Amino acid sequence: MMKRKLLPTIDPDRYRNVRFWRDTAQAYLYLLPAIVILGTFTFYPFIQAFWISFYRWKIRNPEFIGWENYIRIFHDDLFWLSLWHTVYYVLGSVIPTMTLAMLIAVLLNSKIRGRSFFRTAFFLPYVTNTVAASMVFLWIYDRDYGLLNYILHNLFHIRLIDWLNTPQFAMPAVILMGIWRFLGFDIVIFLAGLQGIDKTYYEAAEVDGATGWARFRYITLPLLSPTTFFVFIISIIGAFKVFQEIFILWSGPGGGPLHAAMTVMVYFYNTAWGQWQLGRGAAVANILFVIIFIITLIQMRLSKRWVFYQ
Amino acid sequence: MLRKSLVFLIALTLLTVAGFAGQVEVTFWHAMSSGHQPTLQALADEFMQTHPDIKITLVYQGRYGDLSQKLLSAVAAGTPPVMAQMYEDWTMKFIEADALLPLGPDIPQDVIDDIPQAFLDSNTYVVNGQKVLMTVPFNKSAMVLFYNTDLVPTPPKTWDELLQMAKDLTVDKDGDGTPDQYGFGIRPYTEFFINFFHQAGGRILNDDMTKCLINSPEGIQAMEYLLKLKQYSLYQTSYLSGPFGDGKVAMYIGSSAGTPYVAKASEGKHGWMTAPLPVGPKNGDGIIQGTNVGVFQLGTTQAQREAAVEFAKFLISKEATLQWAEETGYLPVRKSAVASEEWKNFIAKHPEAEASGKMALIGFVYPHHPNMYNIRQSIATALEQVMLGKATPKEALDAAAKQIDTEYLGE
Repeated sequence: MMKRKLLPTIDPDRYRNVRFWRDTAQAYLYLLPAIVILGTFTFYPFIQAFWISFYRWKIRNPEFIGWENYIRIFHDDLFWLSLWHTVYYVLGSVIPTMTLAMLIAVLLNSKIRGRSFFRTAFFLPYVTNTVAASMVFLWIYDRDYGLLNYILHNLFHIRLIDWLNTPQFAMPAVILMGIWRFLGFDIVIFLAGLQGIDKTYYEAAEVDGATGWARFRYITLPLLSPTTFFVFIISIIGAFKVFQEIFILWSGPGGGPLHAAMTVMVYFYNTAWGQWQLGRGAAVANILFVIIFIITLIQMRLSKRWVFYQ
Repeated sequence: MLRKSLVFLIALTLLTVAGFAGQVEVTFWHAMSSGHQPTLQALADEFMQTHPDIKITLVYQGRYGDLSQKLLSAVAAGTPPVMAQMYEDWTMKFIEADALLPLGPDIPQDVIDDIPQAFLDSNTYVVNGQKVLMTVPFNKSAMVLFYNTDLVPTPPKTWDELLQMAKDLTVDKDGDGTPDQYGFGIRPYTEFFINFFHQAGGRILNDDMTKCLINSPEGIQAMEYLLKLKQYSLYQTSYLSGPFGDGKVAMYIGSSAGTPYVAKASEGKHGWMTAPLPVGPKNGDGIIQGTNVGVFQLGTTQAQREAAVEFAKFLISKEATLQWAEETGYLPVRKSAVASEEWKNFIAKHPEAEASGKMALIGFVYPHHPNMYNIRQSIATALEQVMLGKATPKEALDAAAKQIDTEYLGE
């Protein structure tokens, strides 16, 4: 009778048990606040967004038009352009940010003076208001008075670049700002991951005579992989939604010179709130959702090959 | 979330109204930030003194973008404020939703006759085949030429003079190949181009709004002129008041609403003044921008609507519009106000306000088409393509006209 249960077994008669129902009711009671909040602010708008994407939105009397919103988006060159810019941003910002962040995190993880100062300094951009930061970047990117051109021109003798008014420099300008902004966040997460790695691995490796690089390659990198994976997914999703920087740098939903910095989110804003085509805007948002969803699924699948859990 | 909080807000407002039995409360949603809000409040207070049975509640809703989103959500929920500031394209959506009360029938003919034509055009819409004055003009601005008086003793009067002066004032002081001082400044936005297009005699759409005429010879003429002007211009997508203040740009064309920014940027650096736009081949007209005020019939009571109409009439009265114009820099919306002794006295003290008052009388506005937002964006793209050398004026304007015809005028 006193046999210890190793695995919880499911009692087939549990539905007849009053206690089961009481426990269930109690559990739902605890979950209720979360369900209400998530339901109202996440799931309801989510379903609603799907719903209205099939309508031509006329404020008071929407008109059902089936897939027309989606068809028109797919026929719009500007949409494809904005998708390309978004991919450009994702590729251009996520990999450099993560590489740089991992490097800095490893350096910060070693015992150096003023570690907490650097940690704060790197994290500061992440908690800085994007609008305020964008105003500063407006100055940094200024052709004649900007800091960036000052450095490039005076130190490296590069011709003055009109960052914000030249189409081919618009996206690099956004990417640079993105790296600056998210570097700190990535560093802090990587640091946490690094500190979670058991010191004994390194001690054992040192006894075996492993070099610094070998320790990094065969201990740090594999054992940090769950953290890397987390940062990777979060960064990709975040990068797909890049918006505020662009909205402020070029004051409005135009997406920079000749739409050179028009991303999917800016395209969405322009459609929904510029043109007041809420149905079509919802369709854009749904397309973005599907894209991010598929990419995340692919990442999850691929992750099995390179993520090691201790 | 927005809709819920709005419902809550309005329910709260209604409860407050019930509290003041006998007094009608009129909520007025606006986007006039701290600079202009005191003037608006002063006008509301004056109105309430003479109308003790009406309470005007001004509600600042953020910038125009925020105001548009909040109004859109409120109308969709059937609970808009009693009155609000609104742009033409929003107004068209509200008319489509049958949410607006036409104000024309309540405004005496002599008042209507006293409103400059461009302002009337801005507020008149075709509703069920009839032209109806739906809203009244509120914070209007005109396009003017800003010029640095240290560099430009007398402003250019024509396109040719503008081009010549821009050329003469473009100087490369340190000889590095790029000018340190430009004669002119160009920011590529639709209204900037439309001024030149209109002055060349162009019209954006044909009469029944079925065809775009932007690629007409007038369009190409305007674009070619701007291409010449660009050689002597600082070209940037952000506002020009900064470089103008720094003395980098000697002249530029902008909205009179930017006057305070020009004043601030130039303060202690150089003198500046405004002038009417240099005259083009056909005329010297300029586009009028800014919002109007409308009253909602959706979700409001008869008493509220009547009170709101009274306040709207008060806002366009000669006295109120003068006070509004003098304190904010927006335009007086009555011809008699521009001609009044009071305005002349004001101009004597504030000569920079004179040009916009003149431009108000020869202004024009965009045609009212529900897809005007998209049409404007297509035109802006054409302008950018030409200015950045990606297309010739004809190529860019043909492409814009084709897109407008097929995508925005067909519906």
